[in-house]
Amino acid sequence: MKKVLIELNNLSKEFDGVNVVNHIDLSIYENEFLTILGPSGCGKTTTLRMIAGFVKPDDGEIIINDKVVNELEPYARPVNTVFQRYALFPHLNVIKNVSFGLDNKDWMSLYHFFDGDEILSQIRQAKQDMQAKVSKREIKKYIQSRIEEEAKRVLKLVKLEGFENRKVDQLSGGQQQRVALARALINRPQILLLDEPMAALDLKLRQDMQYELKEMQRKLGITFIFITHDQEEAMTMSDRIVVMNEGVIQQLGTPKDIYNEPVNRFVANFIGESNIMRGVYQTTNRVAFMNQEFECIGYHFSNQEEVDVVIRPEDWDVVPLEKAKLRGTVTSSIFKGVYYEICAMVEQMEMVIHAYEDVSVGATIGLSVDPYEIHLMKVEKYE
Amino acid sequence: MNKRFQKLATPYLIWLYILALFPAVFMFGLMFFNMEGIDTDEISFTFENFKQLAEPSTRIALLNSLKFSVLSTALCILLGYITAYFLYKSHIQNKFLVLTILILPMWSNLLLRTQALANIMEPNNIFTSLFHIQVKEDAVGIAGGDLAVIIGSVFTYLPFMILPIYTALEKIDPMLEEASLDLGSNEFTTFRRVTLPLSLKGVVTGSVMVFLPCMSGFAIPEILGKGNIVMIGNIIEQFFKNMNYNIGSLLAIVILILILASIALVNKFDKDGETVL
Repeated sequence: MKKVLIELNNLSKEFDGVNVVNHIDLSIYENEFLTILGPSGCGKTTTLRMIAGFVKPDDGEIIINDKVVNELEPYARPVNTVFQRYALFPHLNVIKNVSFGLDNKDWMSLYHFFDGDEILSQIRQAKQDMQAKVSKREIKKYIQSRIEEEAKRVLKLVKLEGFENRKVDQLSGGQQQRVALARALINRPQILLLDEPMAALDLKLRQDMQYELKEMQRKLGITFIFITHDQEEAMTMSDRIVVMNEGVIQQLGTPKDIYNEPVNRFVANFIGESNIMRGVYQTTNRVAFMNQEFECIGYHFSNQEEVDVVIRPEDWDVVPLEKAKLRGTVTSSIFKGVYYEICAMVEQMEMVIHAYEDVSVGATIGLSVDPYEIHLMKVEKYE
Repeated sequence: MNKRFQKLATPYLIWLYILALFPAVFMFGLMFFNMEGIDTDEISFTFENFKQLAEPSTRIALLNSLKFSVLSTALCILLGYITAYFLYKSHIQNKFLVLTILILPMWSNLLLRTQALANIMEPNNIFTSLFHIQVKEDAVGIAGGDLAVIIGSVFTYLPFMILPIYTALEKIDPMLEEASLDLGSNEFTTFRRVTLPLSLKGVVTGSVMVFLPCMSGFAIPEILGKGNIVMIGNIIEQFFKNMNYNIGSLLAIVILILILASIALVNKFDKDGETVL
């Protein structure tokens, strides 16, 4: 059983009468890559800022390592943040930025941070006398050199060797982001919060960084809480994804679960492309939509209950007309590289279909779908 | 785009050449000559004027100017930083209004303001007459003393300190403070390691803007010092009044060099002129 590291209990925050974060519950495990995904204004950043300690919750609890930390100042939490616009210190060079966190610590905590016994033996080795008395001054001096070494080591980790003495404004966006990452990682936090750190990077760099971040998380064994509005980014890196909208957690699950089994229209629309239509659950494993009855698998609703039916564009099969359950008229077909994106009018509804073969505009195509590709969701009341 | 805007500066440049550059060059020339007023009849080239720099009166005046300027500037830094910092940190909606109120005294005439201040510093001042307060015969005011001059300078030049410091503080990305807190500094350490170093530009700009007029001014020491305190500005004024333009020019050029040196200092700290309003 994985150990719970952070627990959010009934957490709420209101700004100007709007519930930005609305009574959410969430458990985050040790050594997990968790992504909070949602459109802008969904409350994901506020949630992150509450965990970091910049925003005080109105209601509920934040528990880290079994301790309620609601009232704890940001500097006292075992958490570090990589900010959206990096927030590097412009008056310091790269290495001073990176060592900022360690420079803040007093020498006693640094003594433990670097493993006191090792410090002593290192100093004694340098003196070539394993029984020598070691003064406070020698320890402090040694710790100073260790901080610099550590900063260099972390810079190497983020592939920024040789940039130690650069000024921050002489770095590219990608390099600045790496410095921000190094600056947080050097403190060896239990939890690293990342607030849309890739938003300012171009596509190629972003993809490289996604891979590297995931690698780093695995290697360092730190819990990453990653905030993004980019669903592809979330899919690529996360162990689990939290989909948020209007301050409420819509769905929590592995990337695969969330893609394949969205719980409502919002999630289905937000994650990937979806064709969503209204249908009626007939009897066990039978659902009717678009004036046809289909076989489906694994859903339990009451008979004659209204349901939302989700079919992903890639799950439609284009088949010869005589085998087809549904027929549609092609309105457009666009080559997308690996597949064609076909739009077709089926029963007065526009359907998006991904197919490997081109069809001509105006043609009538037959469509069918496998029972296990039909996904049913409960109809939400407010819609 | 930039070139078009440069043309807009032409009238100002002409103004500057006529009223600043030309007189400065002229003064630079004057200090090498000896003549009666602006009269070319008995003009002669000489280095005699430079002897004035060794005169004890000049030295004392220069030292006085330096002492009062440094003291006033230091006081302005202290008061100005505190004011600017609390304004920056406060949650007042209309900070611009507060700033305007702070610089409001600058809209009244300097001499008038200084005279008013001198009056308040006397034992018999506007308040004692307004409220019919009996003042003892032997009461002494602070007018005429060092303190009066320093209060006068600080009162006059404090806005020049507050504004650049405030501008520098406002330009600090609030995220940086959060980043610092996140990296384990408490509020005080954050101020020491992030806010203060990043607002130093404003302090340097402000210091020069206070130091320069303190150094060259003569009205404040004359009115508030009641002639007891002689500064280099007063001496220059005396020479010009007595139509000794040559030595007056020499001393003025000395001040000018000091001014240029301080501007060079500001440029070194604030390359982009961010804090200069």
